[in-house]
Amino acid sequence: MTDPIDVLRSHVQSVALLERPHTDPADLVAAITGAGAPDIANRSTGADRSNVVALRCSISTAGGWFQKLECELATAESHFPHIGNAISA
Amino acid sequence: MTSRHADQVGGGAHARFTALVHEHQRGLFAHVRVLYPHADADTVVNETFTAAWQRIDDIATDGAATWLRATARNIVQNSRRGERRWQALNDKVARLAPVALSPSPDHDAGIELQIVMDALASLSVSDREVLLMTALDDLSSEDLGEILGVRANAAKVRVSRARARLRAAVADRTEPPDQGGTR
Repeated sequence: MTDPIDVLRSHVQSVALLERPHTDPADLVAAITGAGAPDIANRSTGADRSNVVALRCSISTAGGWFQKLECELATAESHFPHIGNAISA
Repeated sequence: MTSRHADQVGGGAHARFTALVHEHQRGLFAHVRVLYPHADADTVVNETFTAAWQRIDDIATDGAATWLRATARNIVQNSRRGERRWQALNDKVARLAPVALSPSPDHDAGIELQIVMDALASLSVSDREVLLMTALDDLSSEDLGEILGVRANAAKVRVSRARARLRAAVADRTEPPDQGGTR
């Protein structure tokens, strides 16, 4: 059998290649720095680095937390129905 | 590179931060998805870069990837403390998610992978973390130590022991139970 470390490395790096953030980098920069994001710029001036921006980022994505968890559960259950049933139980 | 030099060549903190996001956002997102599948990766990445913006003058260019991973880890750990009621469920998801994300390997490789992932799931959270971290990125002991908040030597030992435990767990699942047991 192939060295488990090599198997793990190959798999994890393959998975990582499929992962893409849902936020465009330019939008992320604008949301955090306030530059180019009208809704945030109205609340903060220029390059304000206050925690308000962090809080706003958290709030804007927090709604997706449970939905994402449900999606992951659904995906896992499709691969392992018996385990999925155990989780549901 | 010093922050002053970065300002001179990159047009200031905003330009430096923009470059940081463009260079590291995707890698950090993948890191969070693999290491902390129970967490909302977008939220963690957003909060990590928010912290980076607040500390942009203190982040060394050549150490940015490590700084971001250490910060993301802290954010995940802090968020965990407020979510104890979800812990059991999240642990189950965390164990299943890496397998569920498998990009359909061929049959033999799939069996090997299944055994390795099953063995990985049997290890402690701490072992899984260092194994996934070092599998995903070629981290030096110094970088790994910085992310984990321990000395480089301690990080090196932790990796070595975790790898030994993974190999042993895989061996338990592949070797016949009565191998060499004839009398």
